[in-house]
Amino acid sequence: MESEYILECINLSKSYGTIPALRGVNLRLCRGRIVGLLGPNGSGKTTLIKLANGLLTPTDGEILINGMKPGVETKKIVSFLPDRDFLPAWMTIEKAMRYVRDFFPDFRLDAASEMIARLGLDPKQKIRTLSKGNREKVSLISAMSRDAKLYLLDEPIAGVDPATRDYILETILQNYAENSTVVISTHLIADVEKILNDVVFIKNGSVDLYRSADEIRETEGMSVDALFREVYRW
Amino acid sequence: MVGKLFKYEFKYYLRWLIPIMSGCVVLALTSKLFYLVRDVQELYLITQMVYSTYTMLIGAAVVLGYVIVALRFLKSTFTQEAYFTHTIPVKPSTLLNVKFASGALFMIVIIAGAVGSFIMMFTGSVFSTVTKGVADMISSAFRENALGNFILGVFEVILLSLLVIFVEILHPYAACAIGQRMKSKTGGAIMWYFIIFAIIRAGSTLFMIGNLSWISALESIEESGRVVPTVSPHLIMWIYISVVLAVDLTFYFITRHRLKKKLNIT
Repeated sequence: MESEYILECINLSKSYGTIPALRGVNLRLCRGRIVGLLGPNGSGKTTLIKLANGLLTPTDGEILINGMKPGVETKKIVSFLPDRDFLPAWMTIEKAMRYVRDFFPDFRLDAASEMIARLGLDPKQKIRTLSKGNREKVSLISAMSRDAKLYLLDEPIAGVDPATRDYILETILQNYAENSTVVISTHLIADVEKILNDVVFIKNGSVDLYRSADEIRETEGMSVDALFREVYRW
Repeated sequence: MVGKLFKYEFKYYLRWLIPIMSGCVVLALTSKLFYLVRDVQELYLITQMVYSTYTMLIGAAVVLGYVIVALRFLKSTFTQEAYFTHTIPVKPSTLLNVKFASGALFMIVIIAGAVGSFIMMFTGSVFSTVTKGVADMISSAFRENALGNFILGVFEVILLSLLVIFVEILHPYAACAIGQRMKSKTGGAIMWYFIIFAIIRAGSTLFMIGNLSWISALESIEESGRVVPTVSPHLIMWIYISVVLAVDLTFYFITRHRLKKKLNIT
C-alpha cells in the first residue's frame, strides 16, 4: 500500500551528544517531485538524509518513508547516494555494479553500463585507482541506475568541475524513475536550481521554508539562489 | 539475500586466505627441510632459528586472521562501506549473523591451516608418535569401557576451542559497536577493545582463583600415589564452556543491540 507522502518527518529531532542537529522538523514530501534540500554547511541536511536511510536513529519524533519507519521494506525503495565513497575500493567498476545489482533487484545493469560507457570509464578499472571526480560519477551511476521510489542524493555535485556538474544533473534528470521523488541535498543552489520542482530551506536544524521553485520565483521575483543568499546572509 | 551477503564476505576473505594458506605451506616445507637435517651439528643454530621463525610466523598468521576479521567488520559496518551495507534491505541481525559466521569460518580455516602446517612439518617420527598416542588413548578407552567418556571429552575440547575462537571474533565486534558512538570510530573501537580486554582479564583471574579455591576445598582421594580431587573433569570443562559461552553471548547481544537501536554512521 502506498502512503500519500513518500517522506514524512513528524517533530523529528536528532542530537549528537548535547549538540542538536535537527530540531523538531515537520516535513512532508510528495511523489514525483525533484526536491532541493538547501542549506548552509552544518544545517542538518546530511543528518536528515541519514535518518531517512536508517543510518542514524532519531533522538525524538519519527521519520517515515512511504508510511513506514526506516527498515527492510523502506530500504528496498530508497536509493541513497552518500557524500563519500561507499563502494568497496578493491572492486572494479563492473564488479561494483554487479555488487549493487545483487542486493537491489530494481538495479538496471544495462542503464549503468550505458552511463559508464558514455563517461568513458573503463569497467575493468578498480575503484581505488579512479580520480575523486570519477569515483563520484561511479557512485552516482550506482544510485541512479535503480528504479527506486525515493532517491536521496547527498551533495551529488560537490567537489566536481562545472562540466561534470551539468553531466550529473543531466544523469539525474534522465534516469530517475517516473513518479519517483528525488531529494538533492546541496549548498550549490545556482547549479541545481534549474532542475528543482520544490525547495526546502534548512538552517540550524529547522525547516525555514518549503515551497515550489516556481512559486518562489513568481512571488519573490527572484531566483531560488538569490532568495537563499538573502535569507542566509551573514 | 543472505546467500549474496555470504558470497561477498567469502569473496573478501578469499583474497586473504589464499596468500596466508600458501604462506603456511611454504613455511612448513622450508622448515621441513631443516627438520630433516636436524641431527647435523653444524646446522644446529640455523635449524633452531628456522624453527623459532616458523613458529612465530604461524602464530602471526593466526593473529593476522583475527585482525582481518576485525577490520572487515569495522570497515563494512561502521566506516566507508557502511554507507552501502546499511542500505541493503536486510535486518541488522542478519547482517551481523552473516558477518560473524563468515568471519568464524575464515578463522577456523586459518587455524586448521596452521595446525595442518605443523603436521606437514613434523610428518615423520613426531607425527607418527602423536597418531600412535591418540590411537592408544582410543583403544585404552575402549578396553576400559570408557569410550563414551573419551568421545565426550573430545567433544568438550572441540566445543571449548570453537567458543574461544568466537570470543576472539566477537570481542572486537563489540568494541567496534560500542566505539562507533565516538567521533573517531577506529579510535573508539581500539579504546573499547582494550577496555573490554582489561575487564575480561580481571574477570578471568577472579574466576580462576574462585575455581581453584572451590576445587581445593573439595574432598580429595589418593590415586596411584597422587592426590586427586573428586570433582569430575567433565564438570570443570562444562563450567569453562558455560563461562566462555556467556561471554560470547554478551558480546553478540551488545553488538546486535548497537546495530539495531544505536546505529551512528556519521
